[in-house]
Amino acid sequence: MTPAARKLAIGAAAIHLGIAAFFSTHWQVEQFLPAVVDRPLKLYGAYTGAQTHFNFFAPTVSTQARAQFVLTRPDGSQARDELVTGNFEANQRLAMMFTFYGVPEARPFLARAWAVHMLNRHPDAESVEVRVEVLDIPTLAEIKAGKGSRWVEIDRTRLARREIS
Amino acid sequence: MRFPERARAILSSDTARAEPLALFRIGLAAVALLQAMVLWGYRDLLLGEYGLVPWIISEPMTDPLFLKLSHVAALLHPFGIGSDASVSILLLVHAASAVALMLGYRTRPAAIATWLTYLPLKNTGFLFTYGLGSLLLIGLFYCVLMPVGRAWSMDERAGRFRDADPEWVPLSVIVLRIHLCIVYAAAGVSKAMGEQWWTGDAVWRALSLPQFQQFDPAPFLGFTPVLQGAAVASVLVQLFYPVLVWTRLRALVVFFTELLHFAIAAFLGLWLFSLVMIVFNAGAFGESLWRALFGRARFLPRQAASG
Repeated sequence: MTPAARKLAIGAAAIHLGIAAFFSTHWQVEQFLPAVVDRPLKLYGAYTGAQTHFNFFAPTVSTQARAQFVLTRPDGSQARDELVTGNFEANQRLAMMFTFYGVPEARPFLARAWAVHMLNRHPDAESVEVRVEVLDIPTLAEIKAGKGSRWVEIDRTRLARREIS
Repeated sequence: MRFPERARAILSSDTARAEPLALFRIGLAAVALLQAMVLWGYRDLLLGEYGLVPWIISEPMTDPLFLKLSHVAALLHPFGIGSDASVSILLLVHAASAVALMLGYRTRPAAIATWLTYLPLKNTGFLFTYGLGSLLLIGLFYCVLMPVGRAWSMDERAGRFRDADPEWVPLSVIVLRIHLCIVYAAAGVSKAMGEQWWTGDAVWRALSLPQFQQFDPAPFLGFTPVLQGAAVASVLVQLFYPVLVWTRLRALVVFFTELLHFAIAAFLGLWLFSLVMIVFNAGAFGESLWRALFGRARFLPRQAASG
């Protein structure tokens, strides 16, 4: 390796690692960047992974969300369904998707997308109600006091088939 | 020895061998392949244009210059290939590239192909991506740039690296090391700022979440100091890793970190995520670990020893 190539390689590595370090914690530092800097860094991060926040389970272990679907047929009978597969990795991915319901701007789009999927899965249903729940996990101290985990409904959306036809 | 020379010596100790980078390559490719197999089985649900979250909803949430599945579909549309078939073709190409990468056949083109085909899967499927996605992206990007095919590869057997510059190997290993230090420092600091990690609640919550549950965690309630000990140990291992890996305790620290990842896999079912972290550590500190375990730098008896 020529000295110039070595300096270039080390310099490029240093910049890359510097970017990685800058975005590595749970603090959303990109909020403080001007757009002229933020977008190029975002693009660079999308292709290299350098803009990764290593805040898995940090600073807290957040709870889990799920969606329950209640489908109503024309005769008034109802059926329940949920989005779950027989594969652990696939279910991990579905669980991640449900946590995005925590982003307020995404909620109406996600609820509708899930509702449409369920109506397609149940062609005999005329409407579907999407009930989103989060798991309330007590602390160790609360458990000792007798409190248990429970699913708490946080949102409910109804979609009729005629709205998507 | 003056500080710059000492720092250089510490940074570059046990970085001469190409085998750790090969392990990095093989492990990452295996994870990419296993993930592709899962995605194949659920491609309509998770990746389809009209899947659970249609492209028209997910893709506008990301920058238009991110490589996405709709770009792939648009590329193949003139050939009469629909969006569902485009996803299938992309997954097959991704899997085939991962196999070539694992075998070290035309390693750099295979790495580029695996990385490029992974980007639309991750960007369009970002709603379904967890920590594994980002780590895999980092690793695949490194496979594109680093000499990961110099050992344990078909390319090596074919003599394609006879005249290769050996200096790229230690530089690559050092980059992996520093990046790992960044990962653990950030993760450790972030965790240390959460009260849950000092009370043990973090471990209890992780074990209680249905998405991770491998067994009923209720028996642990009778041993809350164990939960607290595990949580605090996780924080301390990650906080001290970036410091201790540059000392004589390197092999011990890496060993305990690999143990941490194995525990994450066993207790939370996150095998692919843990495998990625394990191979990152193997790539960065494999030579040191090997030397600590077997007292020599050679990985296989027939190879010449290195310094």
